[in-house]
Amino acid sequence: MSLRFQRLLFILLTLVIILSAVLLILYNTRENVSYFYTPSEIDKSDIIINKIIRIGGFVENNSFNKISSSSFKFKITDEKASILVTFKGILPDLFREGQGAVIEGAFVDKNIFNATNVFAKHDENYMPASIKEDLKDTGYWNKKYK
Amino acid sequence: MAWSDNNDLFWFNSSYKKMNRIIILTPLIILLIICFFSLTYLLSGKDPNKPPSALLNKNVPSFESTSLYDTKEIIRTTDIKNRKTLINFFASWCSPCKIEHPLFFEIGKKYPELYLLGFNHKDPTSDAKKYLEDDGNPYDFVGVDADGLIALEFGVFGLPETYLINEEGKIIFKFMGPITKDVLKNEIEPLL
Amino acid sequence: MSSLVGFLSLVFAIGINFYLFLSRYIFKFQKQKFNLFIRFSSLLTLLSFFSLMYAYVVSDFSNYNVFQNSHSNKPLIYKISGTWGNHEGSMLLWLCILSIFSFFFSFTKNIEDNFQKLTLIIQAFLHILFGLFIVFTSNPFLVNSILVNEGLGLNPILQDPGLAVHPPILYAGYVGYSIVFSIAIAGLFQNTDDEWLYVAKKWSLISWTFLTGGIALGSYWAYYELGWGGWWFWDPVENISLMPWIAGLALVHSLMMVRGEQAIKKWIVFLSILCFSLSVFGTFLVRSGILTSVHSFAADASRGIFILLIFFIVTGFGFLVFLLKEPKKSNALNLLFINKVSALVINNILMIIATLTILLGTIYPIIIEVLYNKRISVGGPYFNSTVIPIMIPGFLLMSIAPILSWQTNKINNSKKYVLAFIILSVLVLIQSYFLDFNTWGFVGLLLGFWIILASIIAIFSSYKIKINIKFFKIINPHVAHIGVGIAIIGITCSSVFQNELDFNLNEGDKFNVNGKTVLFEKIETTNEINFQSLRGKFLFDIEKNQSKEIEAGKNYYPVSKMITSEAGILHQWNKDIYFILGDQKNNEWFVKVLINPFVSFIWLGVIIMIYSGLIAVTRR
Repeated sequence: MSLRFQRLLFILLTLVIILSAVLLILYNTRENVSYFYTPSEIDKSDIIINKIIRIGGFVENNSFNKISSSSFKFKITDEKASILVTFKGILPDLFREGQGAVIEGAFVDKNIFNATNVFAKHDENYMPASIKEDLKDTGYWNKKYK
Repeated sequence: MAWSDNNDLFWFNSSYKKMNRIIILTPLIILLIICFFSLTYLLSGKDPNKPPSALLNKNVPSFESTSLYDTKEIIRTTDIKNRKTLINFFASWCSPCKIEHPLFFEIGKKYPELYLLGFNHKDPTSDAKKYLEDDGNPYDFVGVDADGLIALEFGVFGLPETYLINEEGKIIFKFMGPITKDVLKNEIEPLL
Repeated sequence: MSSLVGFLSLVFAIGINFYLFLSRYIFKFQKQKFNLFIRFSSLLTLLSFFSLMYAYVVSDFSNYNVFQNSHSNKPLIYKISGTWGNHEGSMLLWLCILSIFSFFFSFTKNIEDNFQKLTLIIQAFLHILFGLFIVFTSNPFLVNSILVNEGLGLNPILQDPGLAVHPPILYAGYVGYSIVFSIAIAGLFQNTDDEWLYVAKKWSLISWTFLTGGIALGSYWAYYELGWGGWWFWDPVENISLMPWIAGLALVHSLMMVRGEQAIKKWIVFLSILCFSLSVFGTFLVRSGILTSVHSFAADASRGIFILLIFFIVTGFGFLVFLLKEPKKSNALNLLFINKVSALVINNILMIIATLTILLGTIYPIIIEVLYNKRISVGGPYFNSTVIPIMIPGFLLMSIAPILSWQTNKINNSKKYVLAFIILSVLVLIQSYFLDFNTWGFVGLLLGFWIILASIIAIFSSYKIKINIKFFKIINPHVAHIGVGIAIIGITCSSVFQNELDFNLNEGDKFNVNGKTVLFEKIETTNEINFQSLRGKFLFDIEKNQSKEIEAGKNYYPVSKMITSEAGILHQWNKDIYFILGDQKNNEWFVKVLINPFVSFIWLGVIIMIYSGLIAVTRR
């Protein structure tokens, strides 16, 4: 093939690659991005079933229910509204009532959200209140300061 | 190997130059866009760690403490319900405590409805009394925490430490170390 | 005391760099004296860093940083690694590595004195920027105003060998690109001979190899520690390391073209500026608190703005100089369809697109939140659906690249290759037919095997086999590609062909994993020094004489109130069996078993790549 033709082919190939990449990105930025809401931001009338979203808040006290070793029910709240969540699987280690959490999943009906992923937050702003006997035992508090 | 000698060589060269300029400017333009958005985001003070409206509050731990001045007077957690309380852990032997001490007078004067509760931590009562006599007592109540158990309940790691409790009995602020004017202005006062 | 020493040496080092930077305009330094000053400032920075480390080792809690992040009960290794396990200390490590690179660069021969000096002056400029950032916003030598006799830092997740070693190696990669950046900028100011390209190649390879090692360590740590059976989560911090890695790969390949006498200087300079800009941008994203991720440091707006400023200055300066002082025109490229040159050009384009895609995905949430005040998250699905398809043509090119020529568009032994490809495709197709057929799986396996096969054929048909160093150096590019092929096979198999089995078990139950019987022996809780451990004990393959013991469970750390998952992993050459202990109800335990095929290939492939990087550094 002549030099000119080869160069043309090359430029054409490059353009095709760039174009397909751009299309791929545009498509995915619409489809594969999940929106984040707080419980009070979820308008009951606007719920789209089976659309993947994320909800963040904290686990409502006294709402956690262990149905089996791998099936759980709890509520996510932001003190203004709460959402009932079901989850099958293994909960993250830091997950507990009163602790922050972000869940990803979709509504299966207007009232129940089925989470496929649960992320728990480590609360670094407040040190745990009861560091009781353990610290006392190790003698940290026995030394005289002066 | 050069391009074939043709008329399109000229056309290609000039549009090549224009394209060249555009291509070289692109990274700078992208840079400006990124910096603009990042700066806006930072300055708006949004915190990605907190979903926009959730605030995590913890209940103040339950405590019971005798007054430094009157062993018959006792203060309990229930006593500070329904009023905003500033709790400060201090001791006569704690030098940084002396630094923040004058600020509590200011706070007391500026916010008379705020209840100032001081816990005297692992301190002989005579030393504590002398310290408060010499430097003044800004607290509404001074509770004794002789064995440090109250501090343990709060999770205190060292002195001084200060907590702000709201009317519902939830801890809305905690600070380790001596309070400064900045901390007072920027972090405590907005909550009062 | 050590804090004082540390702080003073830090400030003094910055001062020297200021002096050197100004020397460009005020004094004229002789090379010897100049190098002496540079090396002295590097030693001072090192002293500063080791003062901090000393404070950690002796648990000097009068240093606020040590108080916040350490504890006298920590084992010595973790006290040492605690030095960089926090924001301030890690920035000091960053600065330290920056000055170490300057130190070693001052010994480079074969380049013009003025050019070397100019490069080091730009390094000095970078040193000043980051040094001031540390002094004003991230000082690790602050005095602790609280009287304490113990520290706060007992986070168990940070007490891990992989995580201890991961930052220094990773930073060597990130910061190494600073030297490449400085070389490129110096090259723009001073039109020197092409020797600088070879110098740039060496330092790019060093940085890239370190970065590969750092990323691999991080992934390996995530795999065995985080307990989810995954090693890549498209987490923002991971993406931040991947971008300079891909751009660095493009740079290294572009610099290879120098040997074929096809240097596109402009593009090389552009990539050099880009790589370091990406490193600095990454630092910004992580430390400003603008993104959340599994391990971002605590946020502070003033810090964020300062780093943004540094990023703006460094990147802006770099690209501005690039705009104003374009490198002199090099020879026109020998672009044919298809030869090595055009393959490398297309490769570059693909890598840049991949980098930009990852960049877009990572900052997209920020843009949307600023514009629409909506919080969104961009996760695995987006990146998997964009980056991987973009990289596939690149892998395809990689397979035929070894047999392409620099000068002509002819392919030697093309018939051999076409035949090999057809046979291979048929084999992989047959294999897929018997196991699960999966498009991605088929593509991944075909590509991986094809890259390996093509490279092997290239080695045997182009070179005489001799066992000597020269031979290993010559076949190095092929070896590197073989490593990539192996890694691709590992990645494809462990993701596409992963098997997940869920069980609800009582103690004493037997269950079946991959045809082997496993006994769930018992649950055991033990008390260790600073944690309580809960373990499910399993016996794998009890039919065999020597059954393997696996433990999976959780650790509970009472002081920091943390719980960590400890997965039990059975490593075999062709798969990893990954046991996760879940929750229990009425003494019935949920156990998840992941079968990840050929995970070992991933680590093997990466090790080969690192080996290849090291060999390449020693080549010209």
